[in-house]
Amino acid sequence: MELYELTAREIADGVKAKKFSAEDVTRACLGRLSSLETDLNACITVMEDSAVAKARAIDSGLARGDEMGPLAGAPYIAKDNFCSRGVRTTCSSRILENWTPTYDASAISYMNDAGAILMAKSNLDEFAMGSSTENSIIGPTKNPRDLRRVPGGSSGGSAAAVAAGYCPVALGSDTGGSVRQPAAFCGIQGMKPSYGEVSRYGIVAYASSLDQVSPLARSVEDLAMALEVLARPDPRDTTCDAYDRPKFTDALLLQDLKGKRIGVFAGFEAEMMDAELYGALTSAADHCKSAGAVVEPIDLPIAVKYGVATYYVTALADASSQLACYDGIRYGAHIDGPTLADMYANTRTASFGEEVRRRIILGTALLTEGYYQNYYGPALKVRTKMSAEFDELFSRFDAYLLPTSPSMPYMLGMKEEDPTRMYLGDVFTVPISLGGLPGINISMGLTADGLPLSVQLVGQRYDDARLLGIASVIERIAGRPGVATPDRDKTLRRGGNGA
Amino acid sequence: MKMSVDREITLRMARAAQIRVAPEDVDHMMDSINDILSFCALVGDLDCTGTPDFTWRMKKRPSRRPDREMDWEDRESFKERAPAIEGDFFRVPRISSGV
Amino acid sequence: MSSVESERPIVIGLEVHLQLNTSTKLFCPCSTDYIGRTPNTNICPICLAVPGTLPIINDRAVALGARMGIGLHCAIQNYSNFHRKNYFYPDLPKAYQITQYELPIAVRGYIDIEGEGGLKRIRVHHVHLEEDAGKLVHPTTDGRLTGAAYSLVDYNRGGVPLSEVVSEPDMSSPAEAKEYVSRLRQLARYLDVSDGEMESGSLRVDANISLSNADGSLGTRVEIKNMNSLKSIERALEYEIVRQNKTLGSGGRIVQETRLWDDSEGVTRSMRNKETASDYRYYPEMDLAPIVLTDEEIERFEKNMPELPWEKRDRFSREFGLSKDEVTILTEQKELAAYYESVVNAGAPSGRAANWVRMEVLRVLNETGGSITDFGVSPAALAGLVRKIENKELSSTVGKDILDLMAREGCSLEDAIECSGAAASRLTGDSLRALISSVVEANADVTGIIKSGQDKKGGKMKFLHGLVMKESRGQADPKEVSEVLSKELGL
Repeated sequence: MELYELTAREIADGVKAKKFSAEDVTRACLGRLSSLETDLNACITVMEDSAVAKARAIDSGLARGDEMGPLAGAPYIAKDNFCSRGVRTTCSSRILENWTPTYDASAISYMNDAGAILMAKSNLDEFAMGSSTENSIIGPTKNPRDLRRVPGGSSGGSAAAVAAGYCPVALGSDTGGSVRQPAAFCGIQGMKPSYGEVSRYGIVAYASSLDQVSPLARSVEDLAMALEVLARPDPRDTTCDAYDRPKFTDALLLQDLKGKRIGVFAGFEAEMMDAELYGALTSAADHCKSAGAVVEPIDLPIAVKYGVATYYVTALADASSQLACYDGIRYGAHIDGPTLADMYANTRTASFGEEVRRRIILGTALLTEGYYQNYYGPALKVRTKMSAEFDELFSRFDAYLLPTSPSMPYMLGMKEEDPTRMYLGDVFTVPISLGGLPGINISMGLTADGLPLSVQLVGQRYDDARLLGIASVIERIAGRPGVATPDRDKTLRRGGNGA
Repeated sequence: MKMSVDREITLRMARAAQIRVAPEDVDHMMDSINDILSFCALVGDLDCTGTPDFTWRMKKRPSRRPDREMDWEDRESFKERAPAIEGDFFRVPRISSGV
Repeated sequence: MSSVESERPIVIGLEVHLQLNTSTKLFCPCSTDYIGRTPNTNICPICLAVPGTLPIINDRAVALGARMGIGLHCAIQNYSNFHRKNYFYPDLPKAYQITQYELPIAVRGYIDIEGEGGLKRIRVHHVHLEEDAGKLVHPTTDGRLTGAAYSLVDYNRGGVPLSEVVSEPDMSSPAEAKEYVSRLRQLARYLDVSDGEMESGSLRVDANISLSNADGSLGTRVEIKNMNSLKSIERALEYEIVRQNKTLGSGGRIVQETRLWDDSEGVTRSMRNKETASDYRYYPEMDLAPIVLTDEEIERFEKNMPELPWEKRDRFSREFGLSKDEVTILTEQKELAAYYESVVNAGAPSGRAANWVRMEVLRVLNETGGSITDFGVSPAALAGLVRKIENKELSSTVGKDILDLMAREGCSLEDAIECSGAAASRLTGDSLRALISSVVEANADVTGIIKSGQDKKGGKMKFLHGLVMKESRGQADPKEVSEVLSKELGL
C-alpha cells in the first residue's frame, strides 16, 4: 500500500509511532498530485515548499517529544474560498485572482493546529456557484473515476483530490450540496455538518444562512476526526453555536443499529432518479436492516416540492448582497473609468464570470420591492414549515436515507439547458441545507463501469455525532472507498455508456 | 404570485447590481430571470398563514463582544491590497451623480 | 414662539441619529475615536468588508440602545434582529448597511417637552441600532462633491454604532422640533448614551415635514437633511413652511422628496432624484445572531438607569426649594447639577448656592469658555465661599473677585482671600473708626436728623451705613460698621 492511500487516522498513528515520517507522507501526496494534476486540474495553488517545511517541523517536534495533534502529519487541501494567510485565495474568480488574505480562516487554523498540513488550494465553481467545477478561472476539474466526467461541485477540486489520493482529507464548503454532491460524483465520503457546528469565519461567503465548512475523506472515521477538530465555538462567528460538542470519534464505537429507526425516502415519482442510484439506496436500507435497524419508508412532501425553489430564492438573494463588496475600491480587481459608476460596472462586469453575474442580477431582482413580497418573503416562511416537517420526522426516526444526487456524474460540457431538470439535481441536498441538518454522503461502491454509487444519510440538527456513528456502521458493510487512479485511455474512447 | 421582468426591469436590476449587460445579451438575461421567477413562484403556493419567518434556533445563546478596543496589527496591508490609494485615503473616480 | 405663521397645520416628525458612547465599533473591535485621526487607521478586516469576515455585535452598544429606549419609556424587546440595507456607495464597504429594520430593540415610547401651550408629549415610534458609514473627502477648493475630479475615502467612521430615535409626527412647529431635539440630547447625555454634539456629527437630525390640507388630511411629506445645529433645525423647518405655503398658495404641488439645508444661504434644496430614489432591498442579516435579551437583563438595565432629567428636576425643586427657572438651568447639564449638589452637600445653603452656581459659575465658564467638568473651583471651595458670604464675613462683591481668582489662578479659597487683599487691607478697629468719623463729620445734616431721633424708619442710618461700605470698598465687615456707627453717633 502506498503512503498516499492511507487515511488520516492511519497517517497520524503511523507518524506518531515513527513508522514513517510526516515528510515521507507529504512527499508521497505531493508526488501523487504532480503525477495526476495535468489530468485532473483539481488545484489552483499548490504549496509544495510550505507543506514540506510544515511536515519537517512536525517530524522534529515528534523527535523532541512534543505533544502531537490528532491529525499530525496528515496533508489536506482546502477549497480556494477558504482564506489562507499569505496564500492567494481566488474563489476561482478573476475579481480575486491576485488577492492574498492576511489571515487564516478559523477552519484552516484549527486544522493546522491539529497537525494537519495544508498542501494546496483546490478548484471550485466561481464563488462556489455551480455543481460541476467547470466554471473556474483555471478551467474544469475532471472526475478521477472517469476523466470524461465532471467531479461535481462546487467543491469538485477537493472531492477529486481526495478520491485521487492527493490527500486523505480535504475541506469544502457546502451551501446546497456543494460537498455532498461532489463526494457522491467522486465516490468518497463527505459530510455537511449541522448549521452552527463549524465556524464560517474566513470562508468567502455565498449564502450566509446556508454555508457550512464540510470535510471530505475516504472514511467516515476521518470525517469524524476532522469534525472533532473543526467543530468548536468561535468568538469570530456568532452563528457558530457556543455549546459544548460531544466527542465525535466516540460515536464510531457504535457496533450495530439495534434499536435505531431509519427512514428511507420513498416519495419518488417516476424518472426522478437513475436506476443504479435507486439500487444503491435500496442496498443501503438493506445494510441498515442487517445491522439491526428498523427501516421504514418516509416521505418529505414539503421539502421535495418546495425545497429547490426556496433554496434558489434564498441563496441567490444572499449572493447578490454578499458579492456587492467587490467594488474595486479596497481589494481585488479594479478597472478604472471616468466616473465611479463606470468603474463599478467596468470592474464587476469584466471580473465576475457570466454565471456569477447572472446570479447576482437574479438575486437583486428577488429582493426588489414587489418581487420580495412574492418570493423572498414567502421563502422565509416555507423554510420554517420545512423545518417543522423535519422536526416531526425526527420524533419518529434517528436518521433517514435518501439519494445525494438523482443522477450519475455527467459528461463535461453537458450543460443542462432545461432549468426544471437542472434544479432537480439539487432536490435531495438543498432541503437538508435549508433545515440546517447534518448530511453525509456515503459511498456505496462502484458500478460495473467503475462509476461511483452513494447515498445520503441525514440526521437531526446537532445530532452530528450519532449520524457519524450510523454512517460508520453502514460503511463497515458497504466498504470503504479506495483511491481512484484515472484511466487516461478512457478519455480517448468514443461513446460508451453515458449513464 | 408569479411575476416576470421585461427588458427595462432587467436593465434596472443590472444597474442596481452595478453590472453591465450588453444590448445583445439583454433578452437572454431577461429569459433567464423569468425562468427562475416562473419556477420559484412555487414558494407562494404553500399556505403559510401564521408561520413565522425562518431564523436559526441555537442551543446556546450567542455571547456579545465586550467593548474592548483591539488594534489590527497590519494596517499597511490594506493599502498594499487597494487598487488606488492617495496618501492615507482610498481613491475613487468622480462620483458623477453629484455633478 | 415661532416666527412663521401657517394657516395649514404643520406636521413634523424627526429621525435623530445618536453616535453611541462606546470605545469600539458596532461590529468590530476598532476604536470609535475618529475625529482628528489619520485617515484609515481605525480599520480592520471586518469594517473594511474583507472577504470571509463576519460582524460581531458590541455588547455595550446593545446596552446603550436599551438604555436610551428605557429613558424614552419604550418597551425593550426580548428579541430584535438586523437587516441589510443594500446600496452601492464608496463610504459603505460591504455595499450594505447593517441596521435594525424590522424588529428594533425598543418600541413605542415618548418624551415630554415644553410645547407652546405647556407640557406636550411627543411619541417615539422606536429606537434602533445601526452602523455608520465612512467619510468621503472631495479634493475641491470648497470641499464639496460638485466639481471633484475624484474623491477619497476614509473608513475610520465606518461601523461606528448609532442609535436612531424615530418620533411619531407629533410636532407642530419648528420651535417644538428644536425643543424635542434639545430634550432628546439632554436625555442621551444624562444616560451617557451619546455626547450629542451636533457640530461634530454625533447627533444628526433628519426632519419630515408636511402641511395638512384644508380637509385635515395629511399633505405630501418632504424630508430635510443636513442640519448641523439646533438653530438650523428651526431655520430649515421655518424656511420649508414658508416655501410649501407659497407653493400651495399659488396652486402648486408639493413633491415628495429629500431636500438639503444650506445653512449659509438659508435655503433647502432638492437632492437629485438619482441619489434618493432607491430601493434598498432590505432583507434579514443572517451573519448575525439575533439580539436576545432576557427579562432579567432588561430588569437589570432598568435598575441601573441613572437619574433622568425630569426626575432630577422634581427632586431639586422638592429638596432644595428652588424655583422652576432655577431648576431648569441647574439641571440642563447633569454635570452642572452634580456640581451644584456637591456644593450644597459641602454645607452651602441651597438657595444661595443655586444663585452662585447659576449666575457666577456660569458667568466664569462663559467668560473662560470652559466646561463645568474642568472647572477649577471645587464644590467644597465654592461652598466655603458661599458660607462666608452667608455669614457676612465677605461681601458678595469681594466673593465674586475671589471666585474669579480661584477659577482663573487655580488657588485655594484661603489663598484667594489672601490674594484679593480682602484680609490684609481689611478695614477694622481704629482705621474703620477713623473712616466712620470722617463720614459722620462730612454728613453733619444727616447725623443731626439721626441724633435728634427723627430717623424713625432707619433710612438715614442705612444711608450712612452704605456710604461707609462704599468708602471702604467693601472691605469692612457690615456688622462691625453698624456697631461702630451706632457708637459714634452715641446711640
